[in-house]
Amino acid sequence: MPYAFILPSGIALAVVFFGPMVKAVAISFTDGGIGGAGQFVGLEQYKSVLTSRYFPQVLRTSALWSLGNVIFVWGIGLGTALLLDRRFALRPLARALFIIPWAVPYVAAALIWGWMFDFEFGVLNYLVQASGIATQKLAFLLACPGALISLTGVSIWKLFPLGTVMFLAGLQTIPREHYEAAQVDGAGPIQSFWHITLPGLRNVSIMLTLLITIWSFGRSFTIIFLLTEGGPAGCAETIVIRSYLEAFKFFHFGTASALGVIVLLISLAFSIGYLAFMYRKEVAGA
Amino acid sequence: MRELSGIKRAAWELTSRAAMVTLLIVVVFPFYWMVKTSLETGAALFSYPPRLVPHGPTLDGYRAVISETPLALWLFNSLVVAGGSTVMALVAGVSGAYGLSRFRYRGKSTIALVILTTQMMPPLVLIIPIYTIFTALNLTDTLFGLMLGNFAFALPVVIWMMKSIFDSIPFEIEEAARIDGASWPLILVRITLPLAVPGLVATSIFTFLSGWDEFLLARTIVTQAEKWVGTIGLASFIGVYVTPWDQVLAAATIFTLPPVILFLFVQKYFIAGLGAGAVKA
Repeated sequence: MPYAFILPSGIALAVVFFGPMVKAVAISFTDGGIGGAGQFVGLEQYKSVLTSRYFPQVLRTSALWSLGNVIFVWGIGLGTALLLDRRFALRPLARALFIIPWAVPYVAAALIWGWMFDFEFGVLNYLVQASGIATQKLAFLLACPGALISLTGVSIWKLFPLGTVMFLAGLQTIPREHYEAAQVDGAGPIQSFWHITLPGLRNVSIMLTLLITIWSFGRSFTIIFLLTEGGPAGCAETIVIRSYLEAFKFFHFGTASALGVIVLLISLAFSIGYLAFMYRKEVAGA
Repeated sequence: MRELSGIKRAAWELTSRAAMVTLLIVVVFPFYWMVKTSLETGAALFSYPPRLVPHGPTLDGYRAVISETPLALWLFNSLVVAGGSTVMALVAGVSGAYGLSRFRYRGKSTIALVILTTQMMPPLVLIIPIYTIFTALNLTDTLFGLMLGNFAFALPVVIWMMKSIFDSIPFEIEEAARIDGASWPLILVRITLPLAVPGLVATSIFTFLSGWDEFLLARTIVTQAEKWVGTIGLASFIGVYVTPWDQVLAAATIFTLPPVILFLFVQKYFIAGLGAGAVKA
């Protein structure tokens, strides 16, 4: 009986994730014609990717992109969750408004921000000048490293509500008595935050950090692709964007698949290392 | 001393209120700007400095984009794809999650790893082989193909969320029903699911939104214009020589409203459901 429940999901996951992944690994060992009908070339694709001039750069861009996303989604998520955890009038409204970006589709987000970033008529350049932050117009998507920073900003705007929601849920699990006890012991709000809130959010933090990292590293595509296609001059080109261009612009399916397999291996290594490190620390701390 | 701490608390309160209002403005502004631009007249768009409120709001942008582009068709296709994939993902995912949550079986500890691993596979790399499979099965250029793809892409998250929700529902009631002779599928539908409604709503919204929002698969396997979904249609506005921003953002507003409205209706369930998944994970 249990297997009957699991079977449909198992088949679907095998057909759409594990089967294609095996196939992708196979394609990465070929010189990659359309449909993977290329000649077997062993590790040639990996060798040429790893020794290429673009690889260190796209790896660095992906790493910076993921790091930026994780740090700010974590920070803004936690900040907004703490603000929303307090009781006040209009709290449901504030909560709904904070989570709206999450419901805005990526393509729509790309259009909105593309228009706001517009060099000549965009509202951001007006606001930046009117507020005195800058005296000249900013190039946002048109220059390096501004493009990567701007794109990361859009991504954070879309993703931080996930952090808000997860931290809000995490905060509900911390018993009120802990705070009361700390207050009796004379702890101030900062000490309470440091010794009760943060440890209480540990599991949520670990999950959130892991998910945002592997999603930004291996999945982020739409915003970068639609707004700059990895440009200008390739400075916002992540591994995923590069892989897309290899596959659907140059029709190098072998190279594209090798890049994808490298992304998977890095993500796996990172996840295992990260979870092992967190787990080890937990044991040592206990 | 007590007075001082009163002042301190008031200052703290004021600071956090101010922080919240500032953050809210920053977060909501792009959304506001989309709607505002969509109500602008063509000429007012390119005035600089830009006006912060629409100048003589007009629905011209909406009229133009609805009559001049197949936006309605794209939205309909999106609805079919997202709706269909949600139903499929819920049926398979709820059953799978229930099986994983309620029964002992070998390799239980590896399931989390398997699901996590699916999240590390770059969709792009999966799409290359999926494209060849779909070609062989004549599923390219069909909405059903898109539905299948979205269903499978959403499935790991559905299983993950629903499993943690089932884990938080006590098993005892079900065991009692079992002793009374009820079958497992009946128990799932009549007893467990009604208790899991918040989680179910959250999971449905999550799945629907990922289908509504999906771009890469649709871009790869659909070429025929009458099979375009909203994301592809909207993206086709980018790179036009002179972008009619009022029309583009009118289309973006129309495309954004269904998920936002859906979300606002169920946000309470959503936060409870997604949150439960997050904490238990």
